[in-house]
Amino acid sequence: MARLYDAIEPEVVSMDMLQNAVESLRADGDNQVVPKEDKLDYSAVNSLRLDFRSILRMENLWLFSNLTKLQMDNNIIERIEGLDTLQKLTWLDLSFNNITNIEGLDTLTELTDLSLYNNRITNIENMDTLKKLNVFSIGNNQVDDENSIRYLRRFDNLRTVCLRGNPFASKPDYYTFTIAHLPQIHFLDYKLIDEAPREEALKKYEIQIQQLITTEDQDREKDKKSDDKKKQHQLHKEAFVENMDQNQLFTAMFKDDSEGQKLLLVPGADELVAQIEEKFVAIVHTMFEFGLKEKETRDKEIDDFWICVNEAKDENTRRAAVIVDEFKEYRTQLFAKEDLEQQGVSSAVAAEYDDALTNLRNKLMALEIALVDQLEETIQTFERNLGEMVSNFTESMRANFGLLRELQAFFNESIINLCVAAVERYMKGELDDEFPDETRDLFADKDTILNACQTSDEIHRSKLDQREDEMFSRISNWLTTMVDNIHEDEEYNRNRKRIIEISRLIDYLRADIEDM
Amino acid sequence: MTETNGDELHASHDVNGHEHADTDEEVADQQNDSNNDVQEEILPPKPKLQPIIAPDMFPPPIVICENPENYPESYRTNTKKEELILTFIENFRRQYHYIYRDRKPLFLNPLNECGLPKFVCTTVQPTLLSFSKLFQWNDAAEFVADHLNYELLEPPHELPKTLWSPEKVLYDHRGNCFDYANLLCSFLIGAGYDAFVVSGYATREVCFMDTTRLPNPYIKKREEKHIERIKPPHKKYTVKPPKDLTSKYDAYMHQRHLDKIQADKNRRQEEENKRIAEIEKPLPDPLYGIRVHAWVLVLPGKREVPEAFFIEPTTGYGKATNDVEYLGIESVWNHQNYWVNMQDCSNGCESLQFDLNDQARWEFMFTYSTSLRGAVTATLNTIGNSAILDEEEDKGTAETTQKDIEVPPSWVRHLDLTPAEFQNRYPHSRKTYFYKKTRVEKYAPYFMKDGIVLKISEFADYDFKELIYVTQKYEHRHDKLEERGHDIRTNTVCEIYLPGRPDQLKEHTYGFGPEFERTMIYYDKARLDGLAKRHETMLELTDYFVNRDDFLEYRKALFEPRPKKFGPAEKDNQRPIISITERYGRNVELNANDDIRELVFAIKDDKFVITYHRDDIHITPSTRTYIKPVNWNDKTITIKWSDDLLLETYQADEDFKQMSKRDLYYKMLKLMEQEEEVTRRVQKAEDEIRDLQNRRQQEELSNELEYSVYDTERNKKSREYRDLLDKRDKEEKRKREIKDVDYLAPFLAAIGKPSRINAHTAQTLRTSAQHDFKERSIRKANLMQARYENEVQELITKQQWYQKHQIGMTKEDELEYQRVCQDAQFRLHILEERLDRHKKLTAEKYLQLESKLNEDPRLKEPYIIPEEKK
Repeated sequence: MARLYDAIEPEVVSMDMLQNAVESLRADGDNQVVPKEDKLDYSAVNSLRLDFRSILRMENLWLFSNLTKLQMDNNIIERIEGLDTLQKLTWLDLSFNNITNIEGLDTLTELTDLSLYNNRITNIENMDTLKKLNVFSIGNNQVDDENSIRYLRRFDNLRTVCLRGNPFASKPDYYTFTIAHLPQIHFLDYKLIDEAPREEALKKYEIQIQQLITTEDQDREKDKKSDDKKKQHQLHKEAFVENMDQNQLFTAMFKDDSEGQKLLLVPGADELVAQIEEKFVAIVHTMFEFGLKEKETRDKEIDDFWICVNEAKDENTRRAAVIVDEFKEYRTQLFAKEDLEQQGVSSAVAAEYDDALTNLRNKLMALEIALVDQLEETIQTFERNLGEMVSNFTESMRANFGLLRELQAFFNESIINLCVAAVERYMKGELDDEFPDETRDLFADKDTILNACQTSDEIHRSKLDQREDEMFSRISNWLTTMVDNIHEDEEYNRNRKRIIEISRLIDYLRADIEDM
Repeated sequence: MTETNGDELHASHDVNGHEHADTDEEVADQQNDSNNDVQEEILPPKPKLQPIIAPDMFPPPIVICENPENYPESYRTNTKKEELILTFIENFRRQYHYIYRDRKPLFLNPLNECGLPKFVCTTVQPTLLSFSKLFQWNDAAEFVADHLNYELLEPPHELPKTLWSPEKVLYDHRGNCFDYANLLCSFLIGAGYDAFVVSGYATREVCFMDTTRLPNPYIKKREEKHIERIKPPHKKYTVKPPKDLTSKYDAYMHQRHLDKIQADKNRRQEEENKRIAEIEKPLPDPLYGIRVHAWVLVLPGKREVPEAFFIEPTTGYGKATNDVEYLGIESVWNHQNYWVNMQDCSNGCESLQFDLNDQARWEFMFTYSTSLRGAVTATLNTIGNSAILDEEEDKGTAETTQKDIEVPPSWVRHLDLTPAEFQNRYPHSRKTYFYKKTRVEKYAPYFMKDGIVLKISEFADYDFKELIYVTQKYEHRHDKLEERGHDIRTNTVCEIYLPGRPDQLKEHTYGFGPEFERTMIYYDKARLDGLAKRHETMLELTDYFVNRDDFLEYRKALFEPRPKKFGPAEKDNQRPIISITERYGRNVELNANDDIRELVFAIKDDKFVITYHRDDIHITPSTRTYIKPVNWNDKTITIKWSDDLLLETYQADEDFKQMSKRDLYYKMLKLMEQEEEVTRRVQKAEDEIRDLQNRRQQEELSNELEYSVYDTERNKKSREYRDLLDKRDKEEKRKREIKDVDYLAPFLAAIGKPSRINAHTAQTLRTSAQHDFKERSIRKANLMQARYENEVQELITKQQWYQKHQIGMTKEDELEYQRVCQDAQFRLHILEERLDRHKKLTAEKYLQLESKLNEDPRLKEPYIIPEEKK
């Protein structure tokens, strides 16, 4: 633990070191039965051992994307870092280092075994994402905190914990406290926990644990709610009607409108606003419902499309595969006959085989072209239908937005009337006491008030326009992206892949006779 | 056949009142005479009259009853009620005969086995035997058909004169169609069916129980599954089928050609059918339509029978009521009533209605209130009623004096069948049937030594000469053989086994000869290796597997033809293997391209060919071929990798990862190991086949049947065990009896063992018993006390003697004295303990005695003392 920096030169994780580490794990050792490969294939390495090397920084590990087991014990590491790309890691050993904080483990969601034995850690933290954690060793550290133990309650799969050698572990009620608060673990400090002491401990801490459980339940409930909400919002967003289920749009109209808010102080405006809001929200809500319904029909359409396309592709692939299998059968028979008689293939057989190959190629190509035609037509139909749906949606929404605009116009008119009336009354000095001072300036003059009304109206209109534009641009964007993707993947990429496969196959089969 | 006008008998009676008055008169006059006549006509002359009459002048008695005393009372005599019923029946018969002169006589009161006339309804004895197998009508019918030997009616166009009790029929294993129907009807009514015996007419084939024109009922139902291809519903985006470029004209012409061929075929088939029908058509029957037959009718309503149907008792088959084999019905009856058919039977039974309450169609003998059908009480039909009235009485009073009459209970004893008899089933435990081109032999279980219960021989011709196929069914075989089918033409045998064999064999198909194809099907769930089927031909051995963790589907080995050798063939000579192919299913956890589909170990060519699974999006699977290194067999050399070893690789997609040389190298080492393993397995499979052949031969020879542990009749061990248990039980019982000593007996004996006592005596008995007990215990205690004191006394004298002679005693004497003292002490101790125990126990025993006396039934009301059993 207490190594002196000046006594040992820190090592850097270098290419050579990695190469050596990988090689040393191979079973054949020095026995050179297989020629060494020139290049290290990082993604093929599953486990890596870098122990007893006085490594100071965890670095240059990001290429090992398939690594499941990493041993870096007995080094002089001070920070956990550079593990973000090793997402398949299940086994991580960082014992006997100089780590002071738990950090940088957030992406290792598959981790089941984690050893931080003999470090300088004071707090157990930053491990929320390690849901699968099963064995956790944090012995010989500086943990001296009940909260760190409570923190471990969240790991449902945790079975083994090592805590000894911490200041906390030397407290008298350490054992009972731990087994009471971590009911899911079976082994503490590598010893099986018996039922009897566990029950006793649970009884002892009954009240605290009950409280803990209650707060945990509440938290969980909250998380769930916010999750649901997020999902709901996502759904609405996909239907392009987010924030339209209630009066969000209406309030948004008034939010940035400071002048308008002042105008609302005009006597009689309250009623008007309430009236307009009701109508407004009703329209928005129909739009919202309509949007959800449209999404459903669109989804169904898309599902239908994919089911049919996949059926067609599978059927075509199956038929092609049958043809290939038949050909292979034929090929084995042809050459089986040949080999018995003589070494090599006679020219007659070669010619026959060549013909058969050409035939095979033609057949496969014909199938592929038929499929391309079929898919093209289907995709076109689909595109047309979906386009219709989208334009349907847009039109209906546009009409609704028109209604909203009308409503806004009506509102504006009414408010102007109210304001004018208010100004007149103000002129007559009837409204003195009701108005706050800053609005008083607004009502000083008819022009000012009309200007204010106009600004407010413009703001409101621009809000509506903005929302409309956003909706339409997003849906058309969505449509084009999807259709483009379909064209790209289903028509172009798929066809390309298949053609390549066919020519590869033909080349491979032709090699049979070309060798001779 | 009689012409029926649909009128009821008593209706016509009303209309033709005058005529009937005459009839009544006549009947009344002749009543006594007719009774005598009947007896003279039908009854055999009384034996004591016979000696005078020359035997050939009179017809011999119809029923010869050698020792009537063997039969129970009800068989030998008629009760008064039965006599009365017989009288009514006679009247019914006469009137029936009078009104319907051209109808044939009814089957009413045939003679029983003792020569006594009995009414047919009373011959039906509803019985439910304690065999669950007789509860369903088809099982019961099959049992009756199996159980009896059929006897023809003689002559075939007349009703039999006799009808035996079902008991005798059951016991004798033989009977005519009436006996069959009667017995079956008894069983069916007992099982809750609404069943009736039918007397009528049938074709010769039915009457002769000629089943040779019927198809074999045991023929295997070859399942024909018509998988109807449901065309997937046309979805919105279903792609259009590719353009059809074939010529429509060609297709049309082709279709026309096919149609022509089909039509030709149909025509030929039809001709063939006609020819067969011609062959199978029975010869014309001179007695067609008047052959008497009896069968069973089951009406709906009970036991969830949906509609009326017939059961042919001689074969046990269910038949529809419009079956063409049945040509007419005279009457039906069950244990409660008798109905005469009034419907026209000129079309056979096709148009008959079976609503027996419909008086226009069915003339009943006893009136029942319809709601009470099934009640025992019955009133006489008006005709029968008027017949026994005084001639002076007119019809008005006839209605009022209607007399309730009961069909007397059956005179037949309750039918009984022991389990052994039931199991023996067939007369002499075996029976043979003939069907169209088929001979069926049935045996009772355990009757034949090899456990055979059914043997079906199918023939190619109608004369049972050319054997085609033999099916044998077995039961209780030790080797679990259930069925063996032998195809004579191809000379192959197919055996089916029940689960439970050590090798889990389910089916075994084989031929004869050294190199013949054989197939074995196993109970794969019971086998650890999941082997479901093994198929062996001359040069191939294929094992099929199911549900394996490694997804292995089959393993196929190709052999080189065995080198022809002269001289004795060596049995354990393994055939050289050309190649072994293993096929694997898809393991969804792996990528398709890493998941091996087929692994060919080309042993002869020193090659391995691996084919991987095909991805859904690809049309070709990836393949990889290795060549075994030259010195692969040499274990001392470490094989080094060289690029020649990998012969060729084909990847379906260029994006697929190439394996590194190291991985390829290890893969090849693994393959070589695998090859050894697989070769071993194939050889093991071959050995297993040979083992199986040997074992089967031994099993066939040993021929052992197994007995269920519950079958105490046959299973010796089980019976011994059972006997042992019984014995133990008895002993236990006896011990208990001995323990319960009757403490009252001496006191009862003292007062002369009266059969009844009064309260006072009981009291005295009780007190004397208690008193006696007390005295006895005191006596016992006193005895012990006395002994104790004696002993003490003796000890004291001994001690005194010792003290006197202490000086001058030898060492031996001293030792002797000490020993005696110790003995005495020991005895004293024992006596003391005994006394103690006695004191304790006496109190307990006394309480016990008291409670026993209180509970003794003899000392309570009504003070009856049962006779002692000896």
